[in-house]
Amino acid sequence: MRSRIARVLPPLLPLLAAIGSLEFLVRVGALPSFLVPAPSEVLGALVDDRAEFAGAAASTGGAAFLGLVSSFLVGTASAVLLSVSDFLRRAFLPYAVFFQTVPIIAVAPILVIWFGFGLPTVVASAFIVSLFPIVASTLLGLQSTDPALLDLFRLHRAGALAVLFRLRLPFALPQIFSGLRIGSGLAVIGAIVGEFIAGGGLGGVVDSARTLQRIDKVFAAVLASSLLGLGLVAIINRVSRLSLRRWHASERGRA
Amino acid sequence: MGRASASGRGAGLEFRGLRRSFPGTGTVIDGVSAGIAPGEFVALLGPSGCGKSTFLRLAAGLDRADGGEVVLSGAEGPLARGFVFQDAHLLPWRDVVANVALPLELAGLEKPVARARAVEALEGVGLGEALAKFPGELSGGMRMRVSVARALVAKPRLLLLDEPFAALDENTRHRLQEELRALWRSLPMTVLFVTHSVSEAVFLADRALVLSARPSRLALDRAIHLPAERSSGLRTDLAFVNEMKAIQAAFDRGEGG
Repeated sequence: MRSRIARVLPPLLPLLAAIGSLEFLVRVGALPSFLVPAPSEVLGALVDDRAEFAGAAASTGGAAFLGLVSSFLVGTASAVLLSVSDFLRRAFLPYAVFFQTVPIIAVAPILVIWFGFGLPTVVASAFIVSLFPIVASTLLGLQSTDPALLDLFRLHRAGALAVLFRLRLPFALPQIFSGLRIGSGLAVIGAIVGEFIAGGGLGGVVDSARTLQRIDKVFAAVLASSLLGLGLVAIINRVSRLSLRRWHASERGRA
Repeated sequence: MGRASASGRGAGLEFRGLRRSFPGTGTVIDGVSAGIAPGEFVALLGPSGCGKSTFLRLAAGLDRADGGEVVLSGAEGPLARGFVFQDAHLLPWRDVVANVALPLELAGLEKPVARARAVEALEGVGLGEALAKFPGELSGGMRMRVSVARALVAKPRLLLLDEPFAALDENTRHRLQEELRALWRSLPMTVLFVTHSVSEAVFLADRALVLSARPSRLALDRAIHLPAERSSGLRTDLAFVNEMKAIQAAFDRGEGG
């Protein structure tokens, strides 16, 4: 019990201090509340419009999740293809890197033209930003297979599929999860950027609250989106822990 | 060598003018010829970097020679050769039984059959208690035992070992050497054991091949005249020390040239 407090308390203290001083500064009028809302107002906005926020968060979360799942499927398959062929890697990896440098905020309007105002655009946006880290990380994992084990599989004349499914992919699992972890945060960002243009979700709430000068609601939506990102990362961490706890150093010794 | 001619059920192995070079490194093996009779236990020695591991990979069919050839007889099929690496190299996501069953599964055996034989092999190396453990939960010595069981599970005709005990502490190393020697005596197989330790070679093998420094040639091919049954008391025996002296001398000569 005491160790739990010792673990939770240190990061909690600066948070409480920041919230407390912010509340104080706004209350005494040192900070104008149309620029920085008092934390109590932000919380008030969250509570007052809880139905709207819940619906928006579900919509953004669903889109981010769909985008992440598509990235995982497409990304893992591409990484497998890239890992088996030097030629494919040389042919396509430069474009994958280029693809990553295109700012999603500039691409979003194109997505609206292609997919219209609605969920498909938001999912596509989440997919695009989360794809590259998943490909890169999975590829790295697939290429770092223990050469001695590759020798062992060759010695016993294992087929290409056995090498892939019984050796390379399981070996790459830690890197696959680290790609998913990075991708999950990015998928939420991608979904919200998509919603700025396509409407709906927390991105839509930010956009409309901004035009209505509801700074408290903008902050509340920002808070909700980071909680959403944290939630997605927590799900990935949970799955990672469950599948790696018996064997990988990064997850061993944790509950 | 007495047992070798008596059994003759292991694989026969012959190196004919073997040559191997690598880009950047140059010639590693420079014309080595040697024959290993079925059932023999041969130690392959040499200074570090002399191409011992390359030699073993050539024998395993994992690498191709640039010149000469490796002739293997009596060891056909995907399960005829067992290989033990410098470190255990187990699959961390498989438990001990599943690790040992792996070669059989890869060769297409039914899972229950493969598992039953894996359990048997593990009991043979004294790990009957650790079947459901994962590699991350074992000590270095136990992991190496699992690795040896994995190489032996298919009852190979040829067992190749690449400095398997080098990373273990002395007590564990000695115990594993005694166990390996006993296992070999009970199984119809030929063993080629790579090591840089002269005492390990003398304790384990019936014959020592010593390679010179790179580009390596055969510096010595010598039978080790010690009793077939070897216990740890032998290590301080005068005969043991004399065998070591002869091999150490060739080792030192080879290192110079």
